[in-house]
Amino acid sequence: MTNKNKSIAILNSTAPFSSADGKDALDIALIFGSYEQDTSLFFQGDGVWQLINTQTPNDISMKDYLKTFAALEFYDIEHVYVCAASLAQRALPNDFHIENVTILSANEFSNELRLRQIILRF
Amino acid sequence: MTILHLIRSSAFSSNDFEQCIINIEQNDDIVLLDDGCYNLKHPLMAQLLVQQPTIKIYVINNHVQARALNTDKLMSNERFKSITMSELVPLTFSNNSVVTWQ
Amino acid sequence: MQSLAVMVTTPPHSNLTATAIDYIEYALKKGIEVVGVFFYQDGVLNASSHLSLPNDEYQTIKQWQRLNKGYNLPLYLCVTAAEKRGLTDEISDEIDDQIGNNKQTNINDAFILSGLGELVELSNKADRVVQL
Repeated sequence: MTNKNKSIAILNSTAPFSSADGKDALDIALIFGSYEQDTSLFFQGDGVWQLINTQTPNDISMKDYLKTFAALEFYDIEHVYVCAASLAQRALPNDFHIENVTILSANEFSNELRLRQIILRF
Repeated sequence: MTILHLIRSSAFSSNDFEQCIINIEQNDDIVLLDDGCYNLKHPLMAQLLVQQPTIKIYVINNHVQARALNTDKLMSNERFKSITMSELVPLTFSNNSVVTWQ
Repeated sequence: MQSLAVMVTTPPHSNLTATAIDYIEYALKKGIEVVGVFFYQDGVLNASSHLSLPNDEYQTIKQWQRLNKGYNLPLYLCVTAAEKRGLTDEISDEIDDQIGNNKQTNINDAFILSGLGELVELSNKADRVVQL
């Protein structure tokens, strides 16, 4: 069994809550992180809605999985990339989001994504 | 590093294909399968062909056939290549990574 | 030898799963080492031992069983996703418990109940990971 030392990109494209995709994606990211694999989160399209830092899922009887984003560091997930074009499309202001994210142009976003050997999209 | 993009949904009902196009670079490969075949008929496809003049678009033959998409004219365009599912296997390994748009 | 891990997220009644099976089988036939298939999200429903598809429709679960037996293809399902969808190997009633009967399962025996860690292991073993 060889460890091929791959880097992983978890690409989030879905809004939180109505679908479990956001949480399912985060669960995978955390497990790779806890196994010390190089793991990064990417947010594009409706996925960027997950990063609004003032959401209150409890208001819709939803468990707040978003607060886990504050603990990414503990799982060795250092990079969170966000697509600027997706933000612009949704008129999201520059400071809407959780801490420690890197906002990239579409080109930069694509460049980062393709550096990874495994890309899983939810 | 090149990416193989597997497109399984129709741009007429989801923005997966549109998002794929945002992330594409000139040496990537695209495969249309399942409802991704419907993108042959979508304006975004024409846009993609112009934006990325070197990209080849593979289409899984029995998936297009089953859907009776009248694509003879389209497929005679050398930008498209009809392949079998079996031929998708080596494509998986000729790119650095694979991402599925579904 | 080239190796592949596949994650399946689509349910057995979906034609998308037939595509996944097709792809995996062609990989196997071409001598690719498919180190395992990991079922996640609605994909775990493929492991149901009580799911019944009409006879004149594609028998998804039988196909998984065929690949599992014919190619020794390991099929893993994520336990958390499974339990959310009613799949469990811990079925018992009060009498079972009193008598000390073994718990029952509604998971097809071609599938191995596992966790997300399995996905990490498979990803490490394989040259490519494909999500379907």
